[in-house]
Amino acid sequence: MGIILKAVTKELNGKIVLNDINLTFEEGRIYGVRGYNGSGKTMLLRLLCGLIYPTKGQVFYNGKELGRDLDFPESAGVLIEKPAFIGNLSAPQNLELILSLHPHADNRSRIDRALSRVGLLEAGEMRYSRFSLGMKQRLGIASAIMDDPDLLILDEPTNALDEEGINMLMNLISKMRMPDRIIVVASHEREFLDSVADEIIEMREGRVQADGK
Amino acid sequence: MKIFRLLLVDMKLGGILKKGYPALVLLCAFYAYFFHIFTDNLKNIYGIEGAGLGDLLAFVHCGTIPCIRMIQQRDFQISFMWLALIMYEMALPLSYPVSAMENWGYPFVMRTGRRQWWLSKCLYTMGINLISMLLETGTFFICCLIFRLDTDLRWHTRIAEIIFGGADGSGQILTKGQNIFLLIGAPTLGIMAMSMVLLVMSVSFGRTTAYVIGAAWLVASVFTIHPLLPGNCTMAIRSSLIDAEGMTPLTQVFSCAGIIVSAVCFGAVEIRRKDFCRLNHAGSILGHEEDN
Repeated sequence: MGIILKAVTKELNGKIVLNDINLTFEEGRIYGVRGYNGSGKTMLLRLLCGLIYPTKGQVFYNGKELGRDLDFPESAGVLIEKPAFIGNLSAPQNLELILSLHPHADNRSRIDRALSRVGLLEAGEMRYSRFSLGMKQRLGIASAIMDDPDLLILDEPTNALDEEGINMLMNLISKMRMPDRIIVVASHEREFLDSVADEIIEMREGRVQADGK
Repeated sequence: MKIFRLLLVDMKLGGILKKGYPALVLLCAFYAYFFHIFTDNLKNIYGIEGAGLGDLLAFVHCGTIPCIRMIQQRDFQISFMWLALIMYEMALPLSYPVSAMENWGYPFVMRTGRRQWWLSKCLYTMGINLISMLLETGTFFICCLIFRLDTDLRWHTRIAEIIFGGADGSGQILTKGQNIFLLIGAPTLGIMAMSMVLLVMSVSFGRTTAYVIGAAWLVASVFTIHPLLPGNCTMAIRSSLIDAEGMTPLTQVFSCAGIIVSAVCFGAVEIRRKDFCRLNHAGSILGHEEDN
């Protein structure tokens, strides 16, 4: 079914950060969100995953309204800002901490698979505090994908990644495409978005400027 | 249950190795040393001996400058020793929940839902209060051992009379249970009640505003005794025994419990529509560190 935004406006601290947004996100597609700093990209992503609710308008996730029928999408993997990782724990231990809220028998294999996909399996038991910025970013991406979510949201995932990392990320996003999955990636890097996204959403001053590719 | 799993995560991330604990221990050690000098003077001037842990707790939590009545013929004055300790213990749990909400905590709240996230933060706050009181009492206990004072929780009526400046009621003899309640239980409840209200206010208005309001609320309890001023419970001897319009221990328990439950319920409603994002100091919207 997907995600539908109907006439969504968001006001924060007296400022309109999202203005009359009407968008539809369909399953099986990859959406890129592009815009300058302060254009509202991150706010749009926060809205999609339920971290903020609209001041006006509605957000529907598979027919259910966020903020009324649902607190958050039922299956979402998100990378916005920097998630909490403990400095003296390793990458697997940090991901285990997040997954400890949903104990499953296969948590360990999920973690290994996610770390392998982002190229962090070799980091082994190295403490997070010793990670480079690029490694920290990769771990953030791993935390977003490890549940195989139906909704994957990545905000500026290329930050701190080198060329190899960006190529890894592009391959990862392509492989993550599934018929029942929505992927939304926000970035100010034109080339990266053009290569991964089926559809580009241009944001400017809280409004959608163009919708298409 | 998810709440308790999240609470475990919260204690790992923001509770067990809290950076504020060493400062609390140092503060308490300083107070204990100050009390040790006080008891030395009592021994030399009045020949009073046998001061102990109970007297130390009464000294710190008396809610007034010790001996002020006797020296200056005045009623209660704000004890900055008491004020600093209580304000510090109130502040300890404050930053973590708000930081989690505004910055990095979204992987957890998205997995548990808003209500369970909120309940976990309430338990976290009260847990940190409990740990601080344990650290405070533990530090005082160890200092009593170091200074060769009694480690009993009884407080000596003669010493209490001097601490409270000869005020009526300071000479009462209490049971062990009453001592434990007045010296440890009531202050713990009072700090929990205030911290819970500060938590709700910090989620709604921000940490700084919440803390300023909390400080004013605490200071008000120096001058007035009222069930809606849980600061009175942090100076329970004064509130229960000394002040003519005092509060019974039962009233203190019910008032603190009522404030805590109200804060939890109000916060649960507030968090339903709360935005999990950060506003910078200048009021511009930051959804990402590199956005302006």
